[in-house]
Order: sequence, then structure tokens, then C-alpha cells
Amino acid sequence: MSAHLLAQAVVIGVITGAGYGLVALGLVLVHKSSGVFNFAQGEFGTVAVYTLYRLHDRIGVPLLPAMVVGLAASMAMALATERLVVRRLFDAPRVTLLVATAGVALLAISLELWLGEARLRFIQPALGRLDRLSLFGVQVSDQRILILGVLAVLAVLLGLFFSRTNRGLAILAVSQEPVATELMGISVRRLSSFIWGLAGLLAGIAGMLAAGDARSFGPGFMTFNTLIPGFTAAVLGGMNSLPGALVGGVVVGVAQSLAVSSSAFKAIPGPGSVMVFVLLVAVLTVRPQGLLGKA
Amino acid sequence: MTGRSSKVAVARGAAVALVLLLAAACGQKSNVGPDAAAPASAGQGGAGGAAAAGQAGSGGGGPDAVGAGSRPDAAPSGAPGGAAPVGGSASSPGSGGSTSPASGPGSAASGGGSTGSAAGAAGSAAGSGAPTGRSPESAGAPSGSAAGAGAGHGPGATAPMPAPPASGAGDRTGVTDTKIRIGIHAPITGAAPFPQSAFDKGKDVYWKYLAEKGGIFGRNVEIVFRDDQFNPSRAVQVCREMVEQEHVFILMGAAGSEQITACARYADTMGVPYLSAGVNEDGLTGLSSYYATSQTYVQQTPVLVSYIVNKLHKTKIAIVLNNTPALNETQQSVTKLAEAAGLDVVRNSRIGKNATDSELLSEANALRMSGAEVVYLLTSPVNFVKLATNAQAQAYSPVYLGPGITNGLNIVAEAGCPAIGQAKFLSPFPQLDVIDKLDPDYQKSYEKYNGQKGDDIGLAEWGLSKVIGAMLQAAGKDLSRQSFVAALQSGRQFNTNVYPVVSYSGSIRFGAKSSHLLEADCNSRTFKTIAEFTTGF
Amino acid sequence: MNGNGDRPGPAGWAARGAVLAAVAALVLAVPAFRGNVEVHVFTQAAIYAVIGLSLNVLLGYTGQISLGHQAFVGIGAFTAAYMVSRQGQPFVAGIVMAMVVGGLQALVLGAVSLRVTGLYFALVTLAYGTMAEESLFNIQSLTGGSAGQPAPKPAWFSTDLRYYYLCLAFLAAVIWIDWRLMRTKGGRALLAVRENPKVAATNGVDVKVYTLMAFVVAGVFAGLGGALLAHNDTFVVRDLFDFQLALVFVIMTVVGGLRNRTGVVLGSAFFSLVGYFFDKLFKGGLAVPGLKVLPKEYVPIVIGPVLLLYTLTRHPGGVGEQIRPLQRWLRGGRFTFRDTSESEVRVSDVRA
Repeated sequence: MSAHLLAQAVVIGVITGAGYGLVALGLVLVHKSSGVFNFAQGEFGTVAVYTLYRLHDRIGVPLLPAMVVGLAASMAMALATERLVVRRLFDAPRVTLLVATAGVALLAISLELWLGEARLRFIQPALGRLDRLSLFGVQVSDQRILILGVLAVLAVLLGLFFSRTNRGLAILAVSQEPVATELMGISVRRLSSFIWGLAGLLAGIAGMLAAGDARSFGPGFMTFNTLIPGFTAAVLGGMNSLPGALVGGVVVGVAQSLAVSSSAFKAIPGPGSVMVFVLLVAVLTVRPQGLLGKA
Repeated sequence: MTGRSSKVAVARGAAVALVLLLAAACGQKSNVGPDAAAPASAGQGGAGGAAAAGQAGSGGGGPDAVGAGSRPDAAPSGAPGGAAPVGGSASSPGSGGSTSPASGPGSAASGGGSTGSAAGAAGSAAGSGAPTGRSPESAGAPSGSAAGAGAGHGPGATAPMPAPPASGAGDRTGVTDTKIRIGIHAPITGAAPFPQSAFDKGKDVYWKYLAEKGGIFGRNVEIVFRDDQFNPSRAVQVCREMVEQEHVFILMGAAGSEQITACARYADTMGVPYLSAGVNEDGLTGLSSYYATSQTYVQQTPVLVSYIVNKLHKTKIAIVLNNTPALNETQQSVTKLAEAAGLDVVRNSRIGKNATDSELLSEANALRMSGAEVVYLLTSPVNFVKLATNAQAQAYSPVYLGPGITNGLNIVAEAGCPAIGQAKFLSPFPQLDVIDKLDPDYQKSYEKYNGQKGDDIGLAEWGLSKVIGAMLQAAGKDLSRQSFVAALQSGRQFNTNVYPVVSYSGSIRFGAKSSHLLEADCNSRTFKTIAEFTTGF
Repeated sequence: MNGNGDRPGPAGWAARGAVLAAVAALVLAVPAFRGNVEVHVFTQAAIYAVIGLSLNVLLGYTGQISLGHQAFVGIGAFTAAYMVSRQGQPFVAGIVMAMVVGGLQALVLGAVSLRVTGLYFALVTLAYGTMAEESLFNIQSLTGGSAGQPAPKPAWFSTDLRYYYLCLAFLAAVIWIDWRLMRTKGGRALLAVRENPKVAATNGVDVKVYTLMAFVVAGVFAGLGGALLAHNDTFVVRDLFDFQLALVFVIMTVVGGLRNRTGVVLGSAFFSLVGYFFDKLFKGGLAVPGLKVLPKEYVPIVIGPVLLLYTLTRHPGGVGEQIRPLQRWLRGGRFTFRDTSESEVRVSDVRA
């Protein structure tokens, strides 16, 4: 592959990787605090997008309020999941919770298929300017710059939250030693809700940005497009490391992009998913704690 | 222990029972041969089998299928001879070799969903008459459905009568004195962003209009419309349901080459006439019950190439097709014709039917890098819009053009503008901008029955219905699958002034002569007709 | 009651026999009176039961979760279709190859599972399933790409009804093999490993070997299920093997009840048939006031997750546990709702 094409693939990879990083942030957040692999993270985002679409494109509510309601919807869904599912299975093995969240995701997808119809919706992104920046011939639109920016800001904020604020420390404490933490007077239940609400918010942001960038969305699109790369990114960066989610996202995005555009993969259909799978297995066998995780 | 030994005893008993039943089932003549002339059989399972006579005998004579389905509502007028009346065996009378119709199960005919007669006759029938060499499967593994038709259930089971009943008899599945039932499958979901109800309003408009004028020899047409989900396996399933449960007279496919190919094959084994929009030829050639109502992709190629050369005056083209084997022929024909016309094919690629976003992004980028000025495109509307959107994001705007059926619908313009630019697609139907000139009845009827202005999907349905209506009319008052096929193969031209003129013969099944060229107008987010009934530029 | 303590008398046995006969009649005789299209659905129920049992080996016996089981099944399906239509092999060859290939790829995945456990293994299986759907099943020369691959029924079982009985026979065989396997040393070892791997290891159980064996068995059964599925539809297309299907498989096994064969069979059959029954009740879909019509295709994935969540949070034993009283009665015990056995399924059983 020529250097030019290589550079282009990398740029594209960084952009898509940013999207994966956003999803990975949410996944790491939940895992860091409760050890749960949240398979519904993608769908929290899809729900936000559907809500936004319904309000803004169908009913005509102005963009900003519609976005706020959309984010509220994803947070509500996350909180409901936490209250109805996660709390009931608090002491259950983590795999049970994984299956349960997968069930939640499937339920969301089925409702989207039913109520939202099984078709792709095409939309115009909020930020219309396409050619803000041109890197190696790849147009980087405003929307994409926004994604990168949001990702960076969120990662920093979350990092600070966990290390500097009382609540953040409390969450970490809960994840390591729930009984002792409760004895210290910290409400585990409330923290749990907080975490999941936050995860829902992150998912909603990720979903809206992704849909805006792709200019289309459909039932389950976040789960089908970003959940597995998101998990791979999280594992790659270290399931308990927030900056790791960022790094992991970019790595997965670039690797996938290289696979898709490389002629070496021409003969293999679906090279992106192959690359992600290989990456996942490689990380888990070679360095299970991830790049930035602690062994 | 009691528990254990009793369980064992029970298991043994069950095993014995199972073996006995299997033996009984095997006792039926193994029915093979899908081609089975078996005319539709009785009972519910009905439908199906059929028309083989049509093929078997090719046209006329031959073991004429005895009337089909004894189901009251679908019942053709009095199946002569024996459509196995509910009760199963019927076919037996002398039908060559048919075996005991019903072995325990089959015979049933019990009310309701009974499978009616049964058995194997089909197989034997095949043996006896059907000259059709087709259905190679019969030797080894007959294609499930058809065969399925046979034993144990109605379909196809009724043995062909040894001697053709009086003239006029034919396979009348799906036809009554007042009604003709037609089944259509289309990718409502999966290929293009159609709303679920997109097809509902328009599918009956033409038939209501016709009903007011007396219908077709007094019969009204009832449409059964199913979503094949852009998935060939599902297409076969809905086609089976339409043939075996709904007992449709003929089957039709609206769009989607793989689905059409799959369903056409099934329809062929069941002897049900199948008409579809023109798609690929490979895989459909040689099917005796298949007819294309519009130009195939291969037939459209020279038209488009001539447009590129003579109207667009561009030289660098890229070819992007769906990655399905059926389109290999299209790829070859386009490449060959383009090069022969002096065009420079700078990129030739295939994309998956369900391509991921990153793959489409990569393809758009590659197209840009290749410098193609024109992109000859044959893929689903969803892929097209995503590709164009990605291309636009890369500041790349080639001219998109291609054959097709669904790419020229307004929904594509709504979703894809401004990225699709002035994309041009061939289409069997013209767009709304000229329909009033070509056939003013459309808008009048649509508004009358739906209370609003007709859309282009309704227009497509109207055009197709009109063609089918003409064919049904040509088949005559004594409507059967045989007479329908005879009308089609007679060589006469069906001219509706909406769809292109079509005509067929025994060997010519891709019988459309022209297409309309549509162009996207992103100011109005619709497609406009820039050339009607064109055969080249 | 009679003087023999807890043993039922002749009348009791007669009653039990009648119940069994009724079930047998339902399963064996009723389909014979239905049309082809309906029998096709019943056959699918039997095939799903085979698949459920295969997932049960993984989930119930080894405790490893596979969210990519649709790939196991799909590989079997495509292998059979390939053998029959591209290689012109007879039906049996297709089935055998499907089982072999299924077992092999399960072995590979099993090897991976030895190094990667629990949650992470679930992720791996999910990624594997996605890769199979997007890549493996798209290889045109093997699977026909998006056009799919035909898989005609075998000559002797060319009608839907006969094929149904064939699949029932296969299901019976799978149940029997599963039953026998669990009674072997290996099976008991597996169950021991499940309960407590460390203890099992100290008792000389080679955890790894038995886990791998279980994977192979699961893979073989899944491959068989896939092959049967291919022939049932007479056409295999990769669109079928998507994420939703993977979850449906897991749901039907968990809701059916882990480690309870009857429960799993019932659960699988239920999920396969629910759309069919729904269609009988609400032809054309259920019109919910104020919402869009619910078509029959979506019913399994709408109620599936609800049932799953309900099962996980309230009755981890699933259907299997609910019918335990009935099973006990059929075996000659008393019919009581009080659970007197120790082998309950706990929430912790859905774990790794």
C-alpha cells in the first residue's frame, strides 16, 4: 500500500476509533465500578438517537432541546436497567449479568425493530461543514472534529472524577470492597445508580455523534457497529483504565481501517471484523491486562 | 429402581412407536421429482405442484393438471376428474403408479388445515410424464419444497390424470369465478429505506380501477404482498407460504436479484408461473416458468454505455456491483462494452450486500483515488446512498448511473440528496413528472381510492399491475395457468404505455424492449424522467 | 396410595402412560395432519431443540458461555450445504462433515477458552460470531456469498413430513447420547468441575481435557443442528446467523433450564414455535392500540429477553425447574410442588 493510502487509512482509523473510544469509555466506567460487562451500552445510545430523531426530525422540536431529551432517554434506560436488572442480580456472577444486559440489548433492538421499523434512516448532521480540515486528502468534517474533541474532554473529566472527587473514590471503593464501603456510610445503591446514569449519558453522546457522522442509523446500529470494537478497545486499553479506553479505541479503529483498505485483505470478506477478532484474541492471550492496565 | 426401569421402558416404547411410524411413512411411495407434474392437489396443501402440466406438456395437452385446490375459496371451478377432493386419495384412480395416497397421515383431508391427499403421486407422476429434464435434484435430493409438496401433503400430490380431461381444464389454483389471487414478494425491509406501509396504498389501486370496469372477465384481482426482507431464504419461505397456504395463481417478484432467483427456482419446481422485474439472466435462464417484465441488467448495459459515451462525454468509469455471483455476468458485460466503446475502466469492484460502514467508506475513498468520473453502480439503494454520502464527505462527486429498479425511487433522492448529485438510473416505470401524459388514469384512480396524490411507489405498482392485467386478459375467460402461459408465450406484445412493451415466446423470457431513464433532481428531492422508452442514445 | 409405600399402583401407571401417550401423539401424529409449511415450522422446533441441547452442554455443563453459538450452527449448515450442492455428496456425508467441522471449530474455541475465561471468553465468542457472520459466511466459494447455498432434502426424506420425523429421530438420538455421556466418568467429572474446579482438580480430574471434550460435543451437536436446519430450509443464507439468533439460542437454553434436558427441549421448541402460534392467533400481526402492528417475526425477540430477565431474576431454574414436579410424577414419584431434590439451578450457574 502506498504511503499516501496508508496515511489516509490511518486518519480514517483515528476518526472511527474515536467513536469506539467513546463507547469504550462507558464500558470501562461500568466495569471499573461494578465488574459488569454491559452489553446494553450500545443500545442506550441507539435509544437516544431514536428519541432525538423522533422529536427533531418528525415532530420538529429544535435541535438542542431534542438532544437533551434524547440524552435523558438513554439515561432513563440505563437507570431502569440498573434498577430492574442489575440490582436484582447484585450478588450474581458477572457472567449472569452479562447475559442479562445482553437480554436488555436484545429487547431494545426488538422494540426498535417493531416500533421504529426495520429500516435505515438517513439524517443530516448538526454540523454541516464537511471540509474543515484535510489530512492527507481525507476530509475531516466538523462533526468528526467534534467527536475527537468530545472524546478527549470526557476522558480527562472522567479521569479527574475518579481520582480527585470523593464520589469517584467512593465508587472505586465500592467496586473493591462493597461491604466495607457500605459500613462507612456510603450508599452503594445510590452510587450504582449514579454510575449507570453516567454510562447512559456517555452512550447517548456516543450514539448521537456516531449517527451524525455516518448520516444514517437503524435499529441496533450502535450494537452492531460499535459494541464489539468498543469492547475490544476497552480490553486492549485495560478494562479498568479510562485513558486506556481512548488509546484502545484509536488502536482498534486504525487496525480495522488498515485491514479494510489494505489490498492484502482483498480476498477476505469482512476484513474489519476479522481484524477486530484477531486483536481481541491476541490481547487476551498475550497481555490480558491490556496496554495500560495493571497486571 | 422403579424410576429408572420405568423410564427405560417408556423410552423403549417410544422408540418402537417411532420406528413403526417411520416405517409407515416410508411405506408411502417416495416421492421424488419435483417437476412432478402433479397438479395441484387437493386440499389445502394444494397449490403447488401444478402446472407442471404446463411445463410437462408444454402448453396444451399432457397430463392435465386436474383442478387444483379443493379449498372452497380457492377452488377452481369444479376440478374435473379428480382433484383429490378432500379425502385424499382421490388421485388414485388409475393415476399411474400413484401410491396409496394417503398413508395415515396424508390422507387426512380433515378439515381445516388438512393436507389433503397425498401422497406420492407426485413422484410417480414425474416418472410417467414429465419430460422436463429439469429439476436435476429429483435424482438425488429433490429440492425440498417441491418434493415436499408431495407425499404426505396435498401439494402436488394429486396424480396427474392419465388422460387429459376435456379441454378447458387446467390448473386453476388461485382462480375462482370472481377472484384471481396473485402473490408478490418484495424487499420492503433491507434494501431501501421504505416505510413499512409504503406499498399498501398503491397495490390495489389498479385492480379497483379495473373492477369498476368489469374486472377481467368478471374476476377481480386480489394481491397478497409479502416482505422477503432482502434475504433469499426468506424469499423462498414467503413464496412457499403464498403458494402452499394462500394458493396464489401466479407469483411475482418486485426487486432484488437473489430473492428473485431463489423464488423463481422454487416456483419452477412447483410449476407456478413467476414474473419478476428484470434482474440477472444467469440463474434464471432455462427456468420454464419464469418471465421478466422489464429489461435485465445485461439488456440495460448498452443503453447506459451509450449514454456515457454520447451524452456525458466522460471517459473514466468505475464499476461497482453487488458482490453476488449472479452479477458476474453483468460485470463482464459492462466491462466489455465499456472498453469496446473506448472508455477507461479505472476501477472494477464488488461490495457486499450488507457492507459495513467502514467498507463503504473505504470504497468511496478508493473511487476517489481512482479518478473515476462516472460510477456505474448496481447495488441496493441503502448501499448507494451510504456510498454517495461517504464520497461527498471526501469532496468527491462523480456521476452515478446504473440499471435497476429501485434506485430511481424518490425515497432514494430524499435520503441521498445532495450527495447523489444528478444520479441517473434506468427504470421500468417513468416518474411522476410524466405519468399524467402517459396514463392519466393513474393519478385519477389513486386520488379516488386513497384521497391523496399518488407517489412513485404507487406508480410502479400501477404500471406492473397494468401489465399483468393485460396478460390475464389475454389468457381469456377460461383462465388457468396453462392458458396464462399460452397467452404469454404466444408472442403477442403487451403495451401499457407505462411499463415498456414486453413480449415472450417459448424460449424468450427476457422480453422487455426498453426502459425509462430517470435523473435525480436534488432541488426537489425527486427523480425526473429524462428519457422515456429508450433503447439507446 | 397403596400399600407399597410410594410406588404408584396400576391406576397411577395408567395415568402416567396416558399423559405420555398424549405427548407422543402431539409430537408424532399431529404434524401429519398439517400442511407442509406448518410441518416446516415443527421441524425447526425439533432442530432448535438439538441446538439448545448443544448450547446446554457448554453453558450447563462447562459453565462457559457462548454468545457466538450461531456461528457453530452456521458452520454446520454451510458445510452440509456445500457438501451436498457443490461437492455432490449424499445427505449423510453432509451431516457427518457438518458434525466434524462443528466439532473441530469448537475444539479450537475450546482451546482458546482454556486461556481466556468467563466474561472475556464471552466476548471472544461474540466477536467470533460477528466475524463468522461478516467474513466467514461471506466467502462466496464456500457459502455462495449473499446469494446463499442450496441444500436440498435427501431422497428418502424429501417431503416435509418425513424430514420432520427424521429430525425427531436425530433429536432423540442427541438426547440419548447426551444422557449417556453425562453418566460416564467424563460427564461426572465435568459436573464436578462445574461445581468447584479447584476441588475437582485436586481429586485428579483433568479439567482441561474434559472441558475440551465438552466443547467438542457441543460443537458436534451444533453442527448437526446446523446441517438439519440447512436442509429444512433447503437454502442457507448467512443473513440468518446474526446477533439476534445468538441471543435467542442463549435465551432458549437459559429459559428452558440449564442442565435439564426436557426443559431445554421445551424452551427451544417454544421459541421456535411461538411465532407460529402467534400467527394463528393474530393473523397478520398483533395490532396494539396506539402502536405499530407487531409481526410474528419479532415475537421471539420481544418476549425472549423479557422471559430471560424474568428467569434470571426470579426463577433461575427456568422451565425445567417448573416442570420438575411433573417429571417426578412421571417417573413414579408423587406429584408435589415441594422441591425435594437438591439439584436446583442457581443463578450462579449461569457463570463461568
